[in-house]
Amino acid sequence: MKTSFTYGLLLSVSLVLMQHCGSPPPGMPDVSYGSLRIMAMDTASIRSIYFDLDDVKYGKHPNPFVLDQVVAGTHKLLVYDERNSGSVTAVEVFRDRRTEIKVNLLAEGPYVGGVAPNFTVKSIDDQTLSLEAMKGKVVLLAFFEHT
Amino acid sequence: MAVNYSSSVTWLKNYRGEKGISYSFVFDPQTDLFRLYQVGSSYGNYPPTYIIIDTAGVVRYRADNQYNRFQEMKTKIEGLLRK
Repeated sequence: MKTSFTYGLLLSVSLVLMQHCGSPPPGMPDVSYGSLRIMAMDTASIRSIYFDLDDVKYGKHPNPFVLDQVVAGTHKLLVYDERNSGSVTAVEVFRDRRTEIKVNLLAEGPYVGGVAPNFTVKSIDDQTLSLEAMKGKVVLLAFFEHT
Repeated sequence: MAVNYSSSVTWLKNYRGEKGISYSFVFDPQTDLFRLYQVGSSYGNYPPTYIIIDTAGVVRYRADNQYNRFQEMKTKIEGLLRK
């Protein structure tokens, strides 16, 4: 009982020293921290996000959101919102640095709110038209019939 | 850009010339774009279909089976251009 208490006390003191003195005592792991800035693309429509880091739920936060005191190393990040299931990303956090993560939550689809499916076609003037190449412009697609 | 599957390149060129239209026309006889954007009776709608895509590539407006939406689309496009 006494040994266990002493060990616990030593561990606590070591952790405090690690946090305040920079380098850990011999035999203790070097724990360092960085931060993560998580942003779901299209901030115009995605005002808040949910995320899980290493399968731990962090709940709802504004988009974008900065998470401080993340242990340096590789983590599994899942970002989502009420409507979109989101995607899992492996993120690398570096000591005393901020890692920027941009996640595209919107599903591809030809309806309002969806990411427009990409295409590459030839116009009747033999000009190559690609939606990807038109990014940065507002595009109107007018589908019509003539019989 | 305008997309059509049911006429011909010649007809589209003539039509564009007659109307003085400057934007691009695409002839899509295999209906690849129609299917990609789910336009047609198989999808429960009928052309004309108008789709407006913003600068980030996200669909912001869609009108199926609609005529005379010029003012509504103009307002939408102007709003997106201001962002």
